[in-house]
Amino acid sequence: MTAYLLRRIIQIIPTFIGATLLAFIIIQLSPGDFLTQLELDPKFTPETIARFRQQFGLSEPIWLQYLIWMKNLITGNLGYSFAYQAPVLEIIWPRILNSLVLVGLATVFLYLVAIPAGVFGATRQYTLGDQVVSFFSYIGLAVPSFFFALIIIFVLLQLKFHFQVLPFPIGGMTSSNYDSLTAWGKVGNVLWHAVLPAFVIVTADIAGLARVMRGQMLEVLSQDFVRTARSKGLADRKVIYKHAFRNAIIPFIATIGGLLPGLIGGAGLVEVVMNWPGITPLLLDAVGQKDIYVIVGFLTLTTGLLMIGNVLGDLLLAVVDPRIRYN
Amino acid sequence: MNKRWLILATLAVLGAGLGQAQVFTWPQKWTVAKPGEATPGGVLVGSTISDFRTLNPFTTAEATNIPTIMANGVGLARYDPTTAQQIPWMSTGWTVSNNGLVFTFDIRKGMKFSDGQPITSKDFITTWKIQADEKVGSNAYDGWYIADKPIILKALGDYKLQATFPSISATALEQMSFTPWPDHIFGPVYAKEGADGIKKMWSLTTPPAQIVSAGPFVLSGYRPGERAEFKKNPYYGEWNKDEQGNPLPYLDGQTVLIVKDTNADLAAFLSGKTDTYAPSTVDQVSQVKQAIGAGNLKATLKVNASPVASSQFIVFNWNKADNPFLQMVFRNVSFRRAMSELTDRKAAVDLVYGGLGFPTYGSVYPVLKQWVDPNIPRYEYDPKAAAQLLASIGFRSKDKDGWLVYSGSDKQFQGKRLEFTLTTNTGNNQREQLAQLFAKTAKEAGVKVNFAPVDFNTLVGQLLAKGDNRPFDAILIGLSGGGLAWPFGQNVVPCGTNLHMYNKSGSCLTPQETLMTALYFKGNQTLDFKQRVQIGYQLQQTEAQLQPIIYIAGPAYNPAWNDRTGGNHPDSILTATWGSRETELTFIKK
Amino acid sequence: MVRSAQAGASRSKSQGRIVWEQFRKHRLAVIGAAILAVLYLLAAFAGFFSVYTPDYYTLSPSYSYAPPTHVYWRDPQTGAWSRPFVYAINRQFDLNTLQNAYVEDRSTKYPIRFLVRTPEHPYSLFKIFHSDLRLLGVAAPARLFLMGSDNFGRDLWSRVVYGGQVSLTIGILSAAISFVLGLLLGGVSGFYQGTRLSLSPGWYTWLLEGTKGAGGWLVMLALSLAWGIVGVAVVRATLELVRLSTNGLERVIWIILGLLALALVLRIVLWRPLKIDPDDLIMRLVEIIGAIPTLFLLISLRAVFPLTLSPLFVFYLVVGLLGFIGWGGIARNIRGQVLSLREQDYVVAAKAQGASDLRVIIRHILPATASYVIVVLSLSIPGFILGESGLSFLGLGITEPYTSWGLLLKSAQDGGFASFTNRPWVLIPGVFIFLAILSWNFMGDGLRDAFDPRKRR
Repeated sequence: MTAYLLRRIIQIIPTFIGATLLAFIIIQLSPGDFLTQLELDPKFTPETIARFRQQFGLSEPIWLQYLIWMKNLITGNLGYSFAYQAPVLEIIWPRILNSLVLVGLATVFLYLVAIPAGVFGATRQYTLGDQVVSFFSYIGLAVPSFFFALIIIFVLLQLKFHFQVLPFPIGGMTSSNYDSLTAWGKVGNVLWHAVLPAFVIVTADIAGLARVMRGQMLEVLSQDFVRTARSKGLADRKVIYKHAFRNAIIPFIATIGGLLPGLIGGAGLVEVVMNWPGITPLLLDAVGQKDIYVIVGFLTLTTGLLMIGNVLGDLLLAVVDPRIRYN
Repeated sequence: MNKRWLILATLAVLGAGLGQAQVFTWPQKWTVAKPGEATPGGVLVGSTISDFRTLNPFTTAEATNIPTIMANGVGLARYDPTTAQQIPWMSTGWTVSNNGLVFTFDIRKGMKFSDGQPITSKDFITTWKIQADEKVGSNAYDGWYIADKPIILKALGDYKLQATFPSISATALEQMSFTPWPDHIFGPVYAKEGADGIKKMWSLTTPPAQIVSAGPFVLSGYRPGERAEFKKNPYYGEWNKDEQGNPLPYLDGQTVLIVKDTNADLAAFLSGKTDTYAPSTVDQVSQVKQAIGAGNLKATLKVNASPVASSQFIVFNWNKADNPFLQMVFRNVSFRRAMSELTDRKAAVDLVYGGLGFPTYGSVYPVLKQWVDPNIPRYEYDPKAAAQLLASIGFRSKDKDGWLVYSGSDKQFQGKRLEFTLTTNTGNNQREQLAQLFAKTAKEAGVKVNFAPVDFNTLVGQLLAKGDNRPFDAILIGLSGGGLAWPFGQNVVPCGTNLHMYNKSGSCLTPQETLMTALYFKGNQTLDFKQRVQIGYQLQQTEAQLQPIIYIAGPAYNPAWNDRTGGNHPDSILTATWGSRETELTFIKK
Repeated sequence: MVRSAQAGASRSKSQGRIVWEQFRKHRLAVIGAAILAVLYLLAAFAGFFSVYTPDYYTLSPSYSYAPPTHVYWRDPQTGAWSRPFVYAINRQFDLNTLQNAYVEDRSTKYPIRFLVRTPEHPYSLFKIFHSDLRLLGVAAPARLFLMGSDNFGRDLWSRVVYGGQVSLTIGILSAAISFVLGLLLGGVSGFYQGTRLSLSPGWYTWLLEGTKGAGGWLVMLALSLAWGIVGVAVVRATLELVRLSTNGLERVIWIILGLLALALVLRIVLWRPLKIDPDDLIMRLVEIIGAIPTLFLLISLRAVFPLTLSPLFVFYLVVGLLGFIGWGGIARNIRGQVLSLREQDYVVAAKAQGASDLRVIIRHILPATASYVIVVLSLSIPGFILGESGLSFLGLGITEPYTSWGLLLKSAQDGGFASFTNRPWVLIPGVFIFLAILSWNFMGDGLRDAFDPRKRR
């Protein structure tokens, strides 16, 4: 096991280089660079733009740009953002934290709802309850999240118009009086802002997760060891939770590694539509402007986390499922 | 220069007495508020679509940026929106040498930065030095050079500043209206570490307490991706007062929310979260109007207040060496006139801008009324006239699919179909719709227009390509910007410049281009406004003759504000050029 | 695989019949299948079901944002029943709302006609059959907008029907691509985990081994060449880094590091080959792709293909991109299952009996993953339909003149709240997305239970 762990950690290095190089190449393959947008501005002479290009190191060949970036990374420098004229980490870190709050809350919601829903569906297969639960979980899945977010905002506005109340804020992450709140008040304020976006994110994922859980649960419930346990007269509840549930959860553990980067990866388009100051709006801008080091710097962080997460996932898998051996 | 203002300013000095600041008085006519109506206090909440990138005034490049909000345009001179003339602001007046090259400014005494340090000529000099240093990479760099020759600034004592221009420039005063930044903060760093030191200063993580501003506001807080908060500069009110002598700004502060999504932006205004809003589509305007009409929102909306300072146009590529047929067609003025007559500007305004827009016929934005020549020929939508023009250059018959084919005098092009590709950038709905509309009206006249939007960067690459063979047929795009003093682009009009989009062979191909180039430089070197306007008219006439670019239309400026806020502009100056208000004169109703 | 007693008992019936009977028990699944059948039928015969060609509109008169046409069954004056008819409409501009308003011109009735010929608007079915026969139509100047019109005044119903062609096809094609990739790579990865593959020649070790064929030599030479390139790259990179170094110490460090790297390359070329587990290789690849958040991978990849000159090319591009994005997670899951399955007694037994790898994979391993595959496949098709709408939201999806439900929904989203309050009919494409996704999910659920013998009742 120790040897396996060591090997995995060593393997992180080529994966890491591969991922950053891939990201670098993909971004550089598309035409233009950060300065292209300036070229349509009558204020700038071509000489000025050429000088900027030189200053930003954008006139070097791509492989050399990558090499320089890698060299800086070794010294702990994730690169420099062209648009922000500041170190990348300084720019993306606060945004990642914001995303973390939102996605963290959403993930908690998700597991709290989806796993029980899946187990419920499996243990009461084909009953009315099963079908009602499936139906409602699918509704969230069937509406594109960006559109769902717009509907939510619209409903909020109508509430405001007709009843002069706003149960939840329209967009944003903190109230204007945030700085004057107590520590607990601040936490409450952020959570109050996060509830609706988290809800939108969760509705899109619940059906997927609940369904996989239901499928796994059904699969395990029909296996011999569960039948044996049942025939031995063990209580249904005990069979379900002690034997079946533990086995059904195995495939989830295989994907747990993806959770970490998912967490910092942000909530995607919901962040844009509901005006959450997370990482997605920042990265969309960065991609649009080709602010390459912001993108590559961000990917470096997610890659690192994903790989750590995956190693953890593999280990957990081995712990939960003794049939799996690593050697 | 304007003698009347010099006198007024001098009077103000006398009135203020010794030891006190020389006061700049904000005229009552810039606001609708009655004298004495304004009350101090309150915070104005606005929004911006893109994130703030830096606090550094020398490296900032965003359209809406923190240094500009803090400074609010404070400089030696400013425009009076009611007269469109420049008046002294941080100066008490200026003189111009007889040859028109040397400007000497008397800097107003008693002005202070937000940290209490006096503002003197040193601050202007340091700001100029840093901006004009190419290693800093400031967006303001190009402004300090005229045809590669620098403008030189010199301090004549603490309160006198001399600027020497390499050649006469119509935009000299605009250039000299730059905002000074504190020498006591940037000067020592620049002296010690040079450009690199300056670039590292005032990033988003710099504590707001270290930020200093000469303008009405100074940063008090920034939450990444969420909002920037500003508080008033207490020393600004010592030299900026209203006609009753109250210190300005009235506001205690200002908050700017960062709202990336346009629907969220609208929702913020409708729910009363933001005070000011500039809806850009008819749907947004209509939502605001309906909310006001239903009594759900107490706000004021000015529909169709003025055109915005930008317009959309189609440019044909004259440099197509590998396709001599299209090159011949695009270079033909009758063809371009026909295309102008196939552009249904009325339908464009109606469908694309939902009625809230203005047709455009020339390169000067309609909002710059004093510059638009009212007599330039307009080629309105007229498919019959267009068909005749096309027939006159050889497109008389149609093929079996109904497309026009060439049967003119040139033997090598016989039977060629009149077909070209029109591109614009993806993601810009209004441009895509304008292009689709043009393709449709052209189709009805038998001209085959293939519409294909491409990625913005690709589009720019194609547009700016140089030489005799460029990779596009026609592009639909828009430009914005352009000054009040001389609204023609320095790298748009003259042949061989970067944004001379239709012909980038490097030299003029038509006598009209040569004339326009000459007129551009002539106007730019004419100090007298009226003469300059006449040269501008002549330039527009030449352009209309040539029709190198088919101007289509631009949207309207429809400002809205929550009725909590007072002190907006009177309707006569409520335009895209001047905006809806002076922030200094804005107040929150109690 | 250990078959359950239940499945054994019903072996007398054919497999297809069992599946069908099971499927029918799942009520939601049957409803889903029926809805899907209708949707796919509409899309397949879009020309016939549409009223106009999807990009048809007129500028004078303009029908921008016309509401769904009111179809009358009774004369509004007399109240007498008649065959369905409509009135022509005239556009006005409502100055209070700044939106279009339409009034009916009640002077003439225009009956709705069935199975009409529209020679001015021909269409083709599957690009093969040409026709101009349409289910419904009215005579000009009246217009039949079953679901209203868009800002140009194009018939939304016709656009929805044609948009379905794109949206529904994208779902299936993208899912197919990602499943082929995922199953293949995940299966190989799980099955061969633990076996090691030589990635470099290691001449010394190789020469010491036994017999060598011509193929072996060829592989060795190719590998040597590849590593030669790596060696050159190392030298080049070292030189550049030395050039860019600012002080002597840094230079020395780079030279040492470069030499070390070169020594390593020489070692694996000449001495000990670099051996890699195919599982590691594939899983690292999955990690690399998975490390990049889907949204950014999509946007960045999409940006690589800028010359979107052919809208059809964009269509295939979107399909390919979506498919390419999806396979990583599937591969990882399949691998997890295969890892567990290959340790199962019956697989071990089959191997011990000398069954070939291929046979073990096809006969024993893949069938056992079927439940998972069907569940995830049925979940992923709607996922891709959603993905298409997400791309459209960002302006990176299908381009005009093609249309898709995602593109139509995006224009509703662009209209913002006006889409809700002033022209709710533009939200209808969203209903179609909703229906398609819901139905696919229900059907997948039903299929899953029906195919799996252990879950039958």
